[in-house]
Amino acid sequence: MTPTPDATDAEVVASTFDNKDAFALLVHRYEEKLRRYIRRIGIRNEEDQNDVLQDIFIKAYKNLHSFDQSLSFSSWIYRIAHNEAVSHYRKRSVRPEGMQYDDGDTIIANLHGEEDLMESIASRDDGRVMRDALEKLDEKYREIVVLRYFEGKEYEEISDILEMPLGSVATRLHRAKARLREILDTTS
Amino acid sequence: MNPLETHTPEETHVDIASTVLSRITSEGLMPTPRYHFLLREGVVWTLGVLSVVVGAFGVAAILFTARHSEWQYYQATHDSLFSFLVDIMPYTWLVTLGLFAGLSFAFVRHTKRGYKYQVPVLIIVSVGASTLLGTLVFALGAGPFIDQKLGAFIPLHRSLHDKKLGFWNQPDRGLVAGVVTDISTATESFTVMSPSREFLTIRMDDLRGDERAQLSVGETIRVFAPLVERTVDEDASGNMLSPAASATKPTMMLTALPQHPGGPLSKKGPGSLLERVVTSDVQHIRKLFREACATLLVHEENDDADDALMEHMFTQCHPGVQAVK
Repeated sequence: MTPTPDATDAEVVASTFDNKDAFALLVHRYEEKLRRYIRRIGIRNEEDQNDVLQDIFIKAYKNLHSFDQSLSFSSWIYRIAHNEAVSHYRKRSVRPEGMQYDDGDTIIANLHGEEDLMESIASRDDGRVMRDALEKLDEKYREIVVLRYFEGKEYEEISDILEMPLGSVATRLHRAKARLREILDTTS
Repeated sequence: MNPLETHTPEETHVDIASTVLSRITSEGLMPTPRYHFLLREGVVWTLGVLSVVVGAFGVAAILFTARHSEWQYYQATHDSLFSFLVDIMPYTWLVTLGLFAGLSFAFVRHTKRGYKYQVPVLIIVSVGASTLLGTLVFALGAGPFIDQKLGAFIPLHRSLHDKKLGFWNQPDRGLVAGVVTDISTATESFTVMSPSREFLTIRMDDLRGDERAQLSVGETIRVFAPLVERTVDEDASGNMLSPAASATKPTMMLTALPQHPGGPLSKKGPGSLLERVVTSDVQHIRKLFREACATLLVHEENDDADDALMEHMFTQCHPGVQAVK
């Protein structure tokens, strides 16, 4: 059975067991989001992105039965994406690469409401400053900042993606922001 | 309209959907069966629970050690409370508890929802579950079995029983434990064979009447005679001195300790060490124990037959005797 375009992710997953072509709908829905995500967490080369994306979707397909319906499909596939990206670094023995220039502007747009950080950025070449600061963040802090402020994920979703307790998400995010503020203040 | 065409990837990228579907077809990929994940989850939970159970055995053995270490005797067996604690500490079981609490934490952490819980919470739950279950196991009386029988499978483990035998096998400190092998009213002495195969002859002229009545060949006893400064051993010619030659009156601690946690104290008697003989005559030992025990479960072909014999002596031969357990 072919799922309709407005079918939920869970319904498409259920259809995939009968018709593997239905899986293409999920690929289309998440390809660009995941490409942006893995790029933001450090896979800059487009060929590498394509390879990792294929691996993410193949792994998701093979593990469809482990998809926990109590989670959102989005969190589940982001988790796979995160793990595949980490695995990619390890296989290549490389560190995540820097962020794109426009990423700095994206986070600033998403940071409205974080007054203290906005104050640190005020009256500067905001996008560049923020990008440079993000590049200086530890990987563990950067990945959580990316999920929260680039991907717009809620704490609960970040907890499911990074497989850490909710309290740890809040703590790590708090530390990441403090570190970011520190870096911004140092560079001012 | 084909729903699969509703989202078009950027043209600069490879068509990931087609590539993925091609790989699925060409490599004959299929979703891994659901039972595989259920089985994995089941195995992880089972290992987690088993770790809690093993940890509980550790707790039961620790409680057993704490309860039956006979703290009241430490001044007799050790120079200080510290040295007693160092000796009596159930290292094996503390390590077991720590290791398996850690393992149960790790297994539960790797269950489907394990990541949702804070590490300290999981550790407290793991240790708490082992403690509760271990307390129950201890209350059911399995402590000695775990400490001696299960502990025998752990390299370097010394059971509380073995430790106590060691504490009470220091004749030079006046501490003697073993099986009574001979009672001589003529010389007013009795002989005890220690686990280290020493025959220790002890004066018994200070025994009270009821204590004498209890003393019998084959019984396991322990004696504390603080005077054991070679009260009477041998004279310069090697002749045994008479009991009267002992100038110092023994003070018996065990007589002042009427209750043993595992039951009544076994034979206890004051006395002073008269003679000390070390033997390696296994046949002689066997003869003694054949007299002392109704049945003797010794494998003749076993190279460690004499060790088995000693073990038998202290654990099987006189199950009712609790003194050195």
